[in-house]
Formats: sequence, structure tokens, C-alpha cells
Amino acid sequence: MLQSKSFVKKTRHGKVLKVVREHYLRDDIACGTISCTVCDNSKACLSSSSGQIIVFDTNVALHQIGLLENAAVSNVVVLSLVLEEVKNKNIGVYNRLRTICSNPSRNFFVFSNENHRETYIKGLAGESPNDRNDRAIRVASKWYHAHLGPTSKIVLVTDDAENRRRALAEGIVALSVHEYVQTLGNAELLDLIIRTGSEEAQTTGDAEDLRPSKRKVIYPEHKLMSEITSGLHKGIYHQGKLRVNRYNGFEATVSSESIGEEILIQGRMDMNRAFDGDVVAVELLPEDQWQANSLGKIAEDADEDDNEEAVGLVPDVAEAVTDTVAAGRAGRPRGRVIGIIKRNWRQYCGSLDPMLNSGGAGGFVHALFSAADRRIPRIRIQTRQFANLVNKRIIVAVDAWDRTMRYPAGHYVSTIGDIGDRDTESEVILLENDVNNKPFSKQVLDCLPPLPWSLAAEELQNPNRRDLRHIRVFSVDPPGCRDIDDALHCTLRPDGNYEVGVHIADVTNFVLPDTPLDEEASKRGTSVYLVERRIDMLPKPLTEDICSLRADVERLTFSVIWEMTPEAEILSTQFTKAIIKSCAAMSYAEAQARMDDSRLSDPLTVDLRNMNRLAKIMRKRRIDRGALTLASPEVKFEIDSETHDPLDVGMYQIREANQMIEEFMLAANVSVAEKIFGHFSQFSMLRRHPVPTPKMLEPLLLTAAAVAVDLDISSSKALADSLDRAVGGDPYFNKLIRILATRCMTQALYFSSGDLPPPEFHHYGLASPIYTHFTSPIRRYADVVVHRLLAAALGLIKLPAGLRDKALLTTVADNLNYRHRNAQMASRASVELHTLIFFKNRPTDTEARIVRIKSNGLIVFVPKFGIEGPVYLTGKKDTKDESDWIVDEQSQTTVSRDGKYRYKVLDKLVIHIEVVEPQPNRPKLQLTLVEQPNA
Amino acid sequence: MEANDTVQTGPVSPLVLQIVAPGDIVLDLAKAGKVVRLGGGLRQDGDSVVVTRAGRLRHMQANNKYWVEGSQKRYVPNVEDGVIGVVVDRRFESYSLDIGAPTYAILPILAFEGATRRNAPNLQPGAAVYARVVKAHRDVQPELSCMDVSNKSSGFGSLKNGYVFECSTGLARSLLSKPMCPVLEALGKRFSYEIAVGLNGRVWVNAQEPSTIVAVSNGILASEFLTPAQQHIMVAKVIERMQ
Amino acid sequence: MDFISPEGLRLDGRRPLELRQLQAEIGVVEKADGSATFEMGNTKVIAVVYGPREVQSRSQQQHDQALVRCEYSMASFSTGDRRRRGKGDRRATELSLVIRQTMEAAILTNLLPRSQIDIFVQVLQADGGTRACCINAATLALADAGIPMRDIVASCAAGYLNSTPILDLNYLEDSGGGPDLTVALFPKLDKVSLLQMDSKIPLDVFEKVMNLASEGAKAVAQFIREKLMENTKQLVLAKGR
Repeated sequence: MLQSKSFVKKTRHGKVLKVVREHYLRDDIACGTISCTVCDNSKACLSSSSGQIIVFDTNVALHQIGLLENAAVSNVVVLSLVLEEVKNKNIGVYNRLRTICSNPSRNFFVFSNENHRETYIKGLAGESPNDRNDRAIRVASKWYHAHLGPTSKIVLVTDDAENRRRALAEGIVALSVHEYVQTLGNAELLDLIIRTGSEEAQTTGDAEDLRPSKRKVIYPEHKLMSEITSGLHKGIYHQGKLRVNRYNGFEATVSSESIGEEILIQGRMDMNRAFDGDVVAVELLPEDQWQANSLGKIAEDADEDDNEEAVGLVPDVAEAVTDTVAAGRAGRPRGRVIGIIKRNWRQYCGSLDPMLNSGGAGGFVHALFSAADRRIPRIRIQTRQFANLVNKRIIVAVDAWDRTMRYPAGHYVSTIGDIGDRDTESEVILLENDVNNKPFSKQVLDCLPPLPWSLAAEELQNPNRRDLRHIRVFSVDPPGCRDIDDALHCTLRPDGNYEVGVHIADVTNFVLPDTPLDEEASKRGTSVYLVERRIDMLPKPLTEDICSLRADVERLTFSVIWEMTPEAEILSTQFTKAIIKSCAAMSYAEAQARMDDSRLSDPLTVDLRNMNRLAKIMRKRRIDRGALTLASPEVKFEIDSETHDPLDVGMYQIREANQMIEEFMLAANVSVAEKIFGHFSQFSMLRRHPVPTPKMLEPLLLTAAAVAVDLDISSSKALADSLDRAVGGDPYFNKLIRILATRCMTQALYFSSGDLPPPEFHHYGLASPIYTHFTSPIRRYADVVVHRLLAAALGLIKLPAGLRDKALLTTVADNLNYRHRNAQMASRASVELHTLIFFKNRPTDTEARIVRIKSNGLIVFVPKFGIEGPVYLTGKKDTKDESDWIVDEQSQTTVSRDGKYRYKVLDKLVIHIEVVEPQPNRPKLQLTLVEQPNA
Repeated sequence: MEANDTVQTGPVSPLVLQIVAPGDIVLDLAKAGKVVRLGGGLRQDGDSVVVTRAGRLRHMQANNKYWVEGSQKRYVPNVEDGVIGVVVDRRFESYSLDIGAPTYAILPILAFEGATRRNAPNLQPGAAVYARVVKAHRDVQPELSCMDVSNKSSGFGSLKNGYVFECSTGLARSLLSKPMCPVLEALGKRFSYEIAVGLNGRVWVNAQEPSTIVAVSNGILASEFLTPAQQHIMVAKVIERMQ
Repeated sequence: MDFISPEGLRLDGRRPLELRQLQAEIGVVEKADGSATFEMGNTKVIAVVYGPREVQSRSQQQHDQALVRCEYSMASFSTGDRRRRGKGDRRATELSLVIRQTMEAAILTNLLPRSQIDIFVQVLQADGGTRACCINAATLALADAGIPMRDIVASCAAGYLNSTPILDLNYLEDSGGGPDLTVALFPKLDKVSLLQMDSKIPLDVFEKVMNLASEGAKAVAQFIREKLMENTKQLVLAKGR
């Protein structure tokens, strides 16, 4: 078995360290062709009879990964050498390549040439590592040819002409990528090829003819990596992640640890070809260029016409501290990007800008691509199918951005659908937020229990499962809810205390650890709710049937049962798996109606009223502890059931019944968190809400000070109390302040308890020392994890291996946070999309509130529709007119020069909303002032 | 080491004359059922006989004795072995001798031919003595004597002049084997020298000329891993170099 | 980090259940009573045995058994960064003790009362699994010295990375953060004489890793035995008998 030969490899590190590693060469590495009689072909996937076998070099993988991802490319040998090199150069491409290799339908076989005795080669004296690797690739190709016999067709694909020449000399068929794609005979594929090296020179030559002025050097040069490293050491340069302003693509910030403050980068030149999310090195500008006026304009850089502040939904929580800069500071460090340490390029959704001279059909055309994400600059691509693509949403990847190129160069990847089509636009939202909406694979569906599912007799016999079918359990959810994951009961005990139960669908009974179903759910992390549809974390049979706690069916649950005094003191807590039979599935409105209808006195209504009474006490106690009552302007659409078009839009109404359910869910989560943390102090999945830093709360304080509201932010309790006191002239004032406060909060996060000291577990918003998510396992994976932890804590199951690994749990938590954030962003984007569709044919006048003052306009918030956007006071192109308005930062007021108009933050005004399309394919909402309130 | 009185022959271990390593089981006593004597390198563990040292398993048919013959540098005393010891200490009634064994050996002052209280050889620390082991038990110090069973000196005694060197116990044993070891025979044809070989891996050589002593010593040390024919050639070369 | 590629190969080209290449040489130090070097891949250890000899300090003499002493050290050139390593540091003391106890269990100390056996172990090259390698080298050196032993002691390490039990970790894998379990056993007696691990792992995983390490140790034992026999044969046959 062990046919090995050992020798050493020497590598040198920075510290001049000799590393000697063993490298075993083997005889038992299979070639992966199905017809091979010599090798073990249990994992074989290549067919040697059905045509050519492709071998490619590292550069092809690095540059043409999009092409390799296309299903037309198949029957490919991926050499381990290539994989290794790709991994060292670009881990993202490596992961994509690995994904292709693991897809059995693609017929990509990984051949460990570096470990095969006959294909391993030693570097010759005077041979560069690159030459050695090229030779290794040729040796491997040749080996395949020899191994599979003379009838086999091995094709080496490389863009290195020298390598091709040598390959041909050695009798290997070698093609360039372009030549190879031509043999596939598919024109669309040609667009996928990325031009590099010599071909690049030729094509930019074409471009030169069209726009001669663009050949000149536009951007400053990036510094060498060595210079950057030494500069970072000396403290001359600062490293950080570039965050482009959501509203202004020409303004970005870099938060650098070395300076402890955010560095402002303004203008395309200073950003120097950096993309949002890139890790960059920044040099500070001289202090006299620092920005004194921190208010900023709504949109600057008049020479670009496509960038201005957009109307959008109100951000839920502080995500971009960048544009909420505090005033009253002398200046803010400004800097410019001098080098990019790590690119954050991905694929972008968007559309092509229409062109006048679109060229003949099939001709090669240069087109500009505008991404849906406004933080991304336009991208230049070349295509042969311009006419086809011009009114489509397409995906484009970025390849390079040279100093001479005004825009980055990219290439076409694929088409999503027609612009304006709602499905296409939803698809764009999902893609932009990395939400997987592919149907579940067969392996995943195979994990489901057979349908129709019904309670098995052995479950009744299970001693660990309590039979609670005789208890009056009910559920309260939003109207039309199909995935009911929680139900409750509340019965008066003979001793005057209450027994209150929260019953959560027992999802982990069906989603077993380490099954494809579990892995898929873990990857998806959460269900995503768009306005018109839902992207499930678990397959439909589970979410809507087997796990859904519908009325009058027997369902398995994981229950928390408390004994409570009438004063809502918890006397004891029990956790158990159970069987329930819900007697009613109500909507919030129905439940509320029952409670309010004094004529009703049936047992169910009594239960509801009891619960409500308990919930109110618990809520009061929680608020006394310092829990914040925050507000977010949630909007609800009424959707036409036929066309799925929005019919009406309005703020989501919150009833007492909502609060009642929420209260018990919170209580259940806290009880479970305490229980699992008690058992597994190192790997409990918990949720924390960090205390906001004073800096984050600055904009809130500024606004509050302007309207003479005194806010105390020393603790959550103090903040909650001062929020309660903040009552202005009208009933909406308080809510508005709360909305602004919410926006300054940090995101709540999942984490593994082993990663942080217990004081950090604190949940600021709920004022709870420990918290987790337990109550929605159907739509959140965190809850699935918590269910397993709880079951293990009760001794019902063994803790799955994946949860015992601290590092693994941390990655799970990180993924959940990422998915959770993306799901929220996708939901918001979907609401924005539907807002746009809604206003398309309904220009409306409505009331709005000012939330911020800028030098050339106001940012207003429209409570009724939950949207926020700019209203320009000056003609927006004419920046010189700024002087018409005098802005007072301290009091957040702006007064027109003639003193006729005066606007103050939180003032009411009436605006007109309509959809305009200043540029094709980019419809947007425009807000204009209708009526001037009195000064 | 197990020993019984009556001598009977039973089935012989199949591993006899084979190379064995520690832990190997060479004999099942339950099956053998006969009187078995165990020598060095073997140990009884329940019903089985287990090897404790690497070497070749030997068996003597006459008394059904098994032992492992290896080649170690360290000497383990055995009764009747001729050894060369170095005086370490002198006490009232005995000398302490280093014979390369785990512990020092005792040589009583009176264990010399014709020695009396008054007339006993006076040995200084550092003196080499050729002696015979008379007591060897792991729980007591080994005891030596410079007389044979009939109280004659028969070559034992203090070694004056000459040169003592160490070699492996295996080589020492082969030097004493019969017929005469080829290297000694070959050397003897050319040189005249005196030699005393201790089974504890020490050899004493004496001759008229120091060069002869050197040649003989080197010849012996070089012969350890050579076949008889090679030994003759090697000796011939040594002699050639001398001239 | 990926320690096992999806193709099932480790970083150095081995499969998870494979040992590194083993090499051993017996009798490398002329002066000593017994000596040996043992290599497991790039880990190389020399062990030297003196004894049984007279106990050096009388107070330590034991009247019913031999005194076994062990000293472990690491050559300053044994790792990538060259630095002086004392033999008195915590790690060396612990390893000395571990090796001593393991070897003491194998030596028939009661056959050599009032004597002393010294084992000196030095790591010449460190690439993971030094503990196991030291024990293997010490076994060979003891056997070379002809010290009576119950059985050969053989040792091997195993770990658990990327949810796979893997045998005989090298330095890279050793520093991968997973558990590292060293087993030493008597192959013929089928008894474990050393089991060390200093991390938390679930019981079922532990069993798998433990079994794997034992299998590895048995394979090492087979190798040690062959080497020993070969060496003994050479010595005996060379005498022309």
C-alpha cells in the first residue's frame, strides 16, 4: 500500500528558515478515466472515448474561471499542481474551482500529479519555478496520453505561447483558450473569455481609435507591495477596508486601526481604482485639506451624472456610520489610496448602458455596464451580443483596472432576464445578497420523511416525549402564515398559579446532523422573506406541513413549560419534547379581537386574556430593567394575488397580541439560553447585542439637541427612560426619535459562548445578560443548533460532532450572521423594488419629516411608506447656489438667504413622490417639495 | 531461570538456532511437559517461555537447556566464566573488582593458590586480574577466585605488564571457542605472545615487543565480523604492514 | 486549513492511515553499551544506553531492582530556528519522565538488582511525533545493550484533523490544533504502556484515534523487530558459525 519515496523540498521564509518537508510519491493514484483497466476507477468520471480530455494551466484557471464554470466545458483533468498554485494566488477562485470539481455532473477530475511517481518532476538547475510547473503540466499531459493509449485525445489549454510551442514539440496537442472555445462552437462562450496579455494590447488598441483621449494615464500608480508593507510598519500608511458611501459612489471611508479614526477618501482619483470592500493602503493628505465641513453635500462630483443620492428604505440599524458623521469637529482625516492589498472583486448584477452606435449584430462591441449596487463603478465589457443584452439584467465579472483605463475592464458572465420584469429584479436582489434560491437537490429531498407524514405509533411510546395532546394549545401568527413554528398554552392550575407552555416545532427530529438536508440548511442559514415570496431554508414539506404547528393535527414539538405565579414570577422551568394538537391557529388580528370582545368567555379566550395579562407584567418588568422599546418603520404591502403587484402600502400595525407572543418567545429564548449555557459553557450558540459606542449615538444626540430633547445614553435603562420622556408636539414625534435611535444601534450577532467572556454576552436591546434564538427553527438555522444543544443538555441525544468543535461552531455563527444580514438586505431591497413598482403609476403627495440637513438639501423620511430620501433645495446641478441657504449645524436648521424659508430637523413637510427614469433602466423615486411650511 | 533435577528430553522448540527478539515465545511449557532448563535471555511467564534479549536461541540436548546467545557489550556473570577484572578497592578480606558486570565482584584475599593470612598477593587498585567466577546470583555480588576447582592457580592470577582492551562478549566467546579461533591461530604462527581472554569482553595481551602487542590487539578487534578465510587474509595484511 | 485534500491525500502525499517512512540503525555509538537511531520521516532520534552498571550514587541504589534513568534533550539544530535548548526545561523533564516510565515497564528490572541503566535520548531532527520516535529509539538501544525486556515497546502517534483520524502526524499536522495522541504498547503481550493526549475530544472519536494509533504502533513494532533480528543475525552470522 505504501509505495513511497521520500526526498526533501526546501522553502525559505522571511526569517531565512529552512523548512524541510517530506513529499511522498505514490503508485496508487488513479487516472480517473472510466475505461481505464489499470487504475482504481471507483471515483472515475472522465470518458476517454467520448472526445478530448482537457488539461489546463494555472493562468487559465485564474483568469477564465467563469468559462470553466460554464457547463459546456467538461471532461477536464484538474492537476493538483494547478489547484495548489491557484490556492496560493486567489483563494476565491480556488473555492470556485473546487466546487466545480465536486460536482459529479461536470466531469472534472482532480489528478494529484505532484504525488504520482511518474508525473512528479524535480526542478532543473537554472529553471524558474514557473517553467518547472509548466513542464510538470506537460509531463502530466504526456503521461495521460501514454497511459490511455494512442487513441486518446489530450488537449492542453494554455495562453502561454512558449508553453504551447514546447508542448507541440513534445507531441502534445496544445490550444489557446480562444482556440479551444472556438472548437466548442458556442458564440456566447466567447464572451466569457477574459482577454489578457497580448490580446489585451490588441483590443485596447481598438479602443484607442474610438476614444483617443482615454489612452493617457488617468490614475496615480499603486505603490509596490514592499513599499506598502514598510510604509505600514513605519506608520506612514494605514491599512483598512474601503467602505464606499451607499449614497455617494465617490466618497468612501477607510477605518484604520492604526489611526483609530475613519479616514475619508473623496473623489475617484483619491480612491484610485479601489472597490468597495477592498483592503487598501491609505496615505493621509496634509491637514489643511482635511474636510472641515462634515455635513457634506448630498451628492457631489458634478462631472459624473449617474451618482446622486437615492431614495430608499430607512436603514434598520447603523450599518454605515460613514454618512452619519458628527459635526462640531475641526476636521476629519482625509486620505488617498496608494495601493490595494486585497481585492474584493466578485460578480456584479446590473445592466448595460445603451449606446448609439451599437455596431452590427455579432460584432465586437465595447459597452459600459452599470451595476445595481451603486457603490460599484461602471465596468467596461466587450461583447458580441450587445443587441441581445442591452435590455437584460446581466452578471459581469471584473478582470482588471489599469492606470490608463477610466473604468475597470470586465467580462460578461451570464444573463438573468429582462429589465423591469419583477422576477428578474427579484433574482438580482437575491444574487446581490448571495441568497441561494435554487431548488433543493435530490440528496436533500431524500432526507425528508415519506409523505403524507403522520404521527408514528412509536413516538407515542417514546418515554422522552410527553403527550400534551389533551392540552389546549393554540398559535398566533401573522395572517396567511404557513410555517407556524410556535404555539402556546396557558392553563390555570388548582393552586392558583399558571402553567404556561411555549411549543416549538421539533425540526431537529427531522433534520438530522450531518445529512445533506442539514448541510444545506446550515449553508442557507435562514429563510429569506421577499415581498412576493419566501426562499425557504428547509424544503416545503417540512416548513409547511410536517413541522408547521397547524390546527387540529398532531405535531411533534420541543416545549418550554413554566409554572408562573399570577404576578408572572417563574417558579419552575421544564424542557421536554412533546406531542401537541393545536386547537386554533389564529392571526394577530383574530386573537386581538377575541381578547377585546367582552362578550366572549370561552376557555380559549380566557387563556388568551390570562396570557396577555402575564405578558404585560413581564413586559413591564423587562422595560424596568432597561430594555429598549425601539421602533422600525416596517412596511406592509398588499399584494394582488393574481399579478403579484402591490396594491397598497402602509406601516405594519403592531397590536397587543403581537407583543404578547413576542414576550413569551423572549422568555423561552432566555430560559433556553441559560439552560444550554449551563451545560455547554464553551460551545453554546448565543445571541448578543453589543452596546453602541458613544460615537455611534452622536448623530442621534445631535438631532435630539436640535429639537431640545435631552437624551441620556449612559446605559440602556437611562436611554429607555429618556426616550420615554421625549414627547414632542405631535404623537409621531416620539416614534420618530425611536426610529432614529434604532438606527444608531449595532446589529445583534450570533456567537459561540467559548469565544467571548460572559460579560460580553449581554443583549443591549433586551437588557438581558444572556439570550439566544430557540423559537423559529423552521426559518433560522441558529435555532436548529440551539435545539440540538438543548436536547443534548437534557440527555436526549448525543451532541453532534459538529457542535463540539469550537472553531467549527464559530464558523457556523459567522455564516449565520452573514446570511442573516444578507436576508435583511434582500428583504429591504425587495420592499424598495415594490415601492418603486407601487409608485410607478401612482404619483403621490404625502407628509414627510426632516431627519437630516445637508448643505444643498434635506433628507426626509416618509412615515407612511417607510421611505427616506433627499429633497433638493437648490437646483441640484448648480452647486454654486449653495450660498442661497445658510446652514446651522448646531441647531440643524437651514434658512434661505432671503429668510423666507426655514427648515429644522424633525419638521413636518409635504412632498411629492413619483418615479422618474433619468437614465434608462434605472428608475428611481424622486421626492420634491410641495408646500413650504411657515418659517 | 528455571531448573529442575531430572533430565528428560522432550520436543525441542522449533526456534532453536533461529534469531529471536524480546517478547518472542519459544516454548509452551504445558505442551513440553518435560524438565526444561532455562539459561540467559529467557524467562518463564506462566506456561510460556519468553525471550528477553535478542540473539540466537541455543539448545543443549544433554540437559534440555535453552539459552539465548547474543553479543552484548555488557557482561552478565555466569559461574565458571573466566573473566578479567580491574581492582577498584581493597578491603580487609577481599578486593572489589570491576568486571564490567552490573555490580562489582568480590575477590577474597585468600582465593589465590597457597595464599595465607600472612602470605597473600598485594594488589593495588588498577591492577588487572584474570579470575574465575565462582558465585553468580542476581541477589548477591558475584564472587571470583584465582584458583581452579582443585585449588591450583592454572593460569589465574594477577596480570602483570601487557595491555588490556575491551571487546564485545560475543567476540570474547569466539576467541575461546574450539577449535582454536582462526585469528589467534594465524597470529600465533607469526608472533609469540601471551593472551588471556575474559568472557566479560576483556582481553589481555602481552609480548616482547610493544609493536607485537599492538598488532595482535588490532588483529583481534578487526576479526569480529570476518569469516575464517577473511581472518587469515586480514592477519596476513597486518603482518605485511609490520614489515 | 485543509490537511486532507478531497482526493484523500495529506499535505505530504500520504493517505490518512499511512505511516511515514521508517528507518533505524543499531549500534551507532561505539563506546556505549547499546545505541540506535530511529527515523520516522524527518523526525530523527538517537538513543544511547549505558548499563546495567554500578549505581553511581549509593543512596539511589535499590536492592531489589535496577535503577532506570532517562535524559531527553533536543539538539539545537533539530528545528528550523536554531536555538539552544536546555535539558532542564519543563518539556524535557516531562518527556524524560514519560520515556523512563515507559521503558521501565518493559525492562525486567528485578533481574538486575542494585544496578543502574542510563538511557540518553536526543532529538536530532524534529518533525512531529518526537515522543513516539524517542520511545522507539530507546527500545532498540536497550535491545542492543542486551538488557532483558518483557517485550519490545513500540510507539506511534495519531490525531484527528478535518474530521478524519490520521496516523503519525508530522510537524505541520501536529500544529494543526487537533488532538495528538501517543500510544506505546507491547505488541506481543498486547498491552498498552503509554497513552498520552492533552486535548478534549469526544469519546467515540477518541476510540477511533486510539485504535488507529495502536495499529500504527503495531506496524512500528513489526519494523523494529525486523530491524533487530537483522542486526542480531548479522552479528551472529558474521562470526562464521
